[in-house]
Amino acid sequence: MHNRIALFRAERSVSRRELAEAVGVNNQTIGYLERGDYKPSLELALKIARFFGVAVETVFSLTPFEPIAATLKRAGRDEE
Amino acid sequence: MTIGFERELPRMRRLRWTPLLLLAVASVSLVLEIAYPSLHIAWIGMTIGTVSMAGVLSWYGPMRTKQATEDIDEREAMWRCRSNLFAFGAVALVAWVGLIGLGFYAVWAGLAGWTVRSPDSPLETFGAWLVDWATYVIVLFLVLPTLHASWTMPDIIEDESEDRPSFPKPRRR
Repeated sequence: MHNRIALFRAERSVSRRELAEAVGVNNQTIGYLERGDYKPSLELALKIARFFGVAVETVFSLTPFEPIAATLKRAGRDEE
Repeated sequence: MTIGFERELPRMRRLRWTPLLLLAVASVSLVLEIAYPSLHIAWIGMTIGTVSMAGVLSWYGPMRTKQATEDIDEREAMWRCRSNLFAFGAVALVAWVGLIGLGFYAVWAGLAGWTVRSPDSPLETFGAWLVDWATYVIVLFLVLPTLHASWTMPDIIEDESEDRPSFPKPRRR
């Protein structure tokens, strides 16, 4: 399972501890999630998505996420 | 609002080599006890040492059973569950092998004069081996969860909880 937790944390300027406290897990669990060493339960995935205010599939995916650079490039092309 | 852990839990530690050392000591003491019954005092000393150390390991190792009554999150619960399952399986196998072996010995001892009571009689030997094997199983039961968790746990994430991500925020227009 792939996720964008680190990306969302960076964008919102949220520390691991803050996210961990908000969703009720240990700090290290957030690190393991970001590194892909642990797959969250549905409950935890939903809590993380709710914390960031997005749909769960925006944060988690069964397939690799498209690189940000590619997304921005495509978005720029669409605007043109 | 904080809905998570109110206080910081102790860090999980991997103890990869200490459990292996304890298992080696317990195995050597078992072999010594069976091969050289005259070294019974040494077996007692080694057994007390390994059982005590095994208890400490389970408290302070990755299983953290000392904090068993405190909150653990779903990842820690999953690791505990996996490691305990592995240990139960291994302990059941070792106990089964021991029972089969002792069963064969009991049959042989029955043929060789089961009821004779003397320090070297089959009955006394059977009793001593039963205690040896049971003690070995106890050591395995205490050590194996820590050993399994320590070797299967991915590298521990360095705590950077106070550090905020260093990516620059997008500029607002």
